[in-house]
Amino acid sequence: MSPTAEPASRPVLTIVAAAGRRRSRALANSLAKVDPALYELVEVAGDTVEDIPSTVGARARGEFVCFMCSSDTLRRDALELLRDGLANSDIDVFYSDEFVDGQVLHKPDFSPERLRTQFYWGHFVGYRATFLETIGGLNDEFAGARAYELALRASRAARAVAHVPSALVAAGPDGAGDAPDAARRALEEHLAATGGGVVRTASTATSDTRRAVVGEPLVSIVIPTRGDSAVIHGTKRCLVVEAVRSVMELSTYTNLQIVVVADDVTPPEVLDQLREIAGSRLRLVGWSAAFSFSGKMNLGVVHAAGEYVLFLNDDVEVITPDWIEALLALAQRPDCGIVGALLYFEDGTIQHAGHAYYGFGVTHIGINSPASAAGPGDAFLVEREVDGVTAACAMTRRSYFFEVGGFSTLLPGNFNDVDLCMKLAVKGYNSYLTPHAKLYHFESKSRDPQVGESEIERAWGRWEPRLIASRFWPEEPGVIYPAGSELSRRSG
Amino acid sequence: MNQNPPQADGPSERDIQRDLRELELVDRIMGLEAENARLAALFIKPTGPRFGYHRMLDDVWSSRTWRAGRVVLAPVRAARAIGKKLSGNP
Repeated sequence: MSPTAEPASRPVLTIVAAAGRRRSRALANSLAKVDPALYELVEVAGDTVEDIPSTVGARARGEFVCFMCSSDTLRRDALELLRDGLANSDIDVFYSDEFVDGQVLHKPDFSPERLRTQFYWGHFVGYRATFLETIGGLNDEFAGARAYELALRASRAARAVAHVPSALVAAGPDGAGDAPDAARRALEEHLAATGGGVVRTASTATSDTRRAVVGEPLVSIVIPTRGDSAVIHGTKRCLVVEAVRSVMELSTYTNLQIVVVADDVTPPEVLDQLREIAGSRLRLVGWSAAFSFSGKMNLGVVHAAGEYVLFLNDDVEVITPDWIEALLALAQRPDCGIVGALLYFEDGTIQHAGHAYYGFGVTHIGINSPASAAGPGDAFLVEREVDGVTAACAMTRRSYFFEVGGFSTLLPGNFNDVDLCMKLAVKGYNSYLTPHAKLYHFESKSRDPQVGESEIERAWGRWEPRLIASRFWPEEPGVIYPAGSELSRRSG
Repeated sequence: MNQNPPQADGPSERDIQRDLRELELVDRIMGLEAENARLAALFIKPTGPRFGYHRMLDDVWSSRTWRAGRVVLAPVRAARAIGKKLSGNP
């Protein structure tokens, strides 16, 4: 090549396509009107992506390589969009939203913790060719789960993983492989390489993997209360007494401190009952100022001795005995700023499955959905990244709480949890939700949920740009999801 | 239950007040930084490839309606802030 010659331009994408059971021409047809300079199509024999020879990616001419089936259909402008978005970037992997059964399947931005429970990237995943060469491409040792194993391996090494929030592909009927044993080995290897954990059930679709608690650190549960009573399940009860009783009687994690921040109006007999139930674990802290959830929680955390603090409303009741372990296992990850629980109303419908910040608003994901709803993409079944969580039940490191200034006393009643999650995000700490910590939350039984104008101005004044689009819940807010599993309905 | 029960004695009143002041101070600083970042985002155009959430933010921030709205509302916001200061409200 002469010194002045232009280097030959590379296609954006090499598409390695398995012929599929039906020998469909859908993919080739969808590329018919696309500029041929943008892509390279390599068609190989085989029923699914799992049948693509592991060596074929190494010969790719494209900047990126993806593995598909000939029954998949690419949107006509997909490659132009990718060319523009990927140019001069450090993106090593991309995945896009997709059409499934005629509906758009929206996906969250890169969510490594969700990925170790669910191969949510889907049909259209592109790997930078040089990156693929570095990490080794498809691995035949994981036959039946090669695509998932490659995704897990890539997630550990990529400089950047990009989510393209546009449905660039319509998934064809030729599914991916499903080899639970291979998926289990891939997940075990991945967990070992990313901080540890256990695989309870494995699949190339949705698995149950859990992070493991390291050691037995002291957890301080901080509960604000006025000692109010309410009728729950048909019986009048003192909320904080029953909340603490359920914690003490049901929790399998035992290295606990209970910090109750009680208003001066709290009846003395309530305090006596708390002493009786929690014994030496109890620290009672008085509160005589005007109502301020933030002020009370900050005071409670200042009194807390635990390395981890668990914020808990007084109108809750524990459902799953290992709820603290589920929260703690994620909270112990260095990147975890805060982790929340799956909460249910008294009638059993979902109250909170994470926060979504969307369209300048704040929404409880899944609110009013039936308890058995699995949510879009079975999201309610898996541990995952979220925009934020409610402080009705959430755990963080005490040191991180101090690092971000705790709950803002400028937000005494509302949005203080949103603000806390935002401050943690600014510091680079993520929010997570685990569906393995389940509690009832008898919301609004304990206080009047009035929202002050100053609180709206303060919270939006700080975080308005971050309330436009949810990174991890690309769904319409306020949707009530049906009972059962969406993925099972699709596959069934 | 617990093999190592928490200590009965807690922090001193002095430590408590120091910690609460620290929390307030850090919160105010982070709050101001967030407000500054929000304002700066109106005028600084990001560079480099952007997908998803960041791309959507870019689109909103760079839209004429968004910028025009901020400019139009600026005097109203300033007046409200001054009014609150004068009335002594937080």
